[in-house]
Amino acid sequence: MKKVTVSGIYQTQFGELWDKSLEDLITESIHGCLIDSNIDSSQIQGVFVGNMLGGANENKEHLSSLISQILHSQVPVTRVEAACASGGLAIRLAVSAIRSGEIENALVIGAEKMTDLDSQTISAGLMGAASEEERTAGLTFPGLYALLAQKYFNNFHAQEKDLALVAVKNHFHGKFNPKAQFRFPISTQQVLNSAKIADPLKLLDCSPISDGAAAVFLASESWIKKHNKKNGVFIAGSAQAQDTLSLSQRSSLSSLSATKLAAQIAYRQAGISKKDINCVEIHDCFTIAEILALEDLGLYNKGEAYGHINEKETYIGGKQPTNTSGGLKACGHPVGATGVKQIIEATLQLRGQAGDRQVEDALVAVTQNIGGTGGTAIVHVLTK
Amino acid sequence: MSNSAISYWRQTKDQIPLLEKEGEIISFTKVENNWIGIIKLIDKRITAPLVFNTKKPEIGDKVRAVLRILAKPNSEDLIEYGIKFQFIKEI
Repeated sequence: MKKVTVSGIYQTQFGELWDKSLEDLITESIHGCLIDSNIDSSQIQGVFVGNMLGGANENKEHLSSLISQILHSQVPVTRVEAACASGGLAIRLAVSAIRSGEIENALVIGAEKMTDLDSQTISAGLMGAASEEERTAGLTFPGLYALLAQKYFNNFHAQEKDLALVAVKNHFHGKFNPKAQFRFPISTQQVLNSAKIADPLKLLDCSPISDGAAAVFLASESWIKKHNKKNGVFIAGSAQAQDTLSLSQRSSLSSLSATKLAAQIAYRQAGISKKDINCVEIHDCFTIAEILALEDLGLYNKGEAYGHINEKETYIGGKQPTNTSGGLKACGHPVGATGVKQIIEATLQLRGQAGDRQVEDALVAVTQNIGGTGGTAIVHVLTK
Repeated sequence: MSNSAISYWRQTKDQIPLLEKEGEIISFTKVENNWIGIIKLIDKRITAPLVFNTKKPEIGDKVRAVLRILAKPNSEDLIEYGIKFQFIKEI
């Protein structure tokens, strides 16, 4: 299998960016990534863009052509939609295209503009990633993840405080990330005292509504050598798995089996085991999701992750540093951009450029990006 | 549910056979003031609103499908009827 390298990265600020449109964010991420890659747009052979709500929110359905206009290029641009996994899937498709030999490099962009709309409208748009049955029942995404949390509590005797510790840790990490939406610490008590959104999840268990974009330039190892470009970080494993749209149709509510399956495939491709992983960027759209992901990625046994989180093992400097970017909770969650941002954080860690949030001697990083309630899961393994 | 009458008819006709069926809650939550759960019936699982008037739902509680108005309509909207699952001991 051809080796794929991450040769350039750029992330815009994540947050409530009232002065920027979706097009502004995409343009900034493209230009930033071209500079970091030290290439010009004429060298790009393919483009993949992850976006979920551009049509519904900004009446921008034809992003492929918009990006051609920004790049002044006629190479194929493919828009990818897989709910909150749109960015991760765009990466995966680019990796597949390079591995196949059809193209030797690709620009991958993830972008979302969410804060122009009121919360009810954006929530209704996001519920397009759930099933009709779930919408009719009156559920929202916090409600869907609350169903998973309630079942987890019942099976493994975790409590609301155990969820709160995930948010506290991610805000601690976000403090060190200049691109994060929230750069301030929060306390366990603040999480527990925040407004209940969907029992047992509270406001500070939930990732925010965010604007932002991220871009990476991927290339085959041979293209990198031929053009004398930056090397150093490889995508060694790239896998995708699916599951039912409705939670009610799953065999288990205490894990997301698509993550388990994608992780097994990605680890096998990369020739690694869970013991080799130095840091992970995982999809903490809600605090319970981080606990499930740590277990589904095989890093902790089922029902045990929250105990290790209590021991601070998932902090920078701990045994299993998790979401050093601040995760979706503190860095922000512009849905189409999240999967690409995770690759950027993993790359920064492996390059040794993560600044105050650097994980010492990081050699292997794993990212996990989820669409819906786990209907799509994308897992990538990055190595130095 | 969509506000289209045709879409409403298409979706609700699948719910009618569920009336009076009994099942068990396997998970639940409360969104705003509404309890919602995943219910295990003999032959399938379903996500639906719950009716609990005297206590909070618990995993394992027995419920039965009843016909109820699903949401408070505006004056010109369809009045949407559908299935909710009520705590059996309250019926």
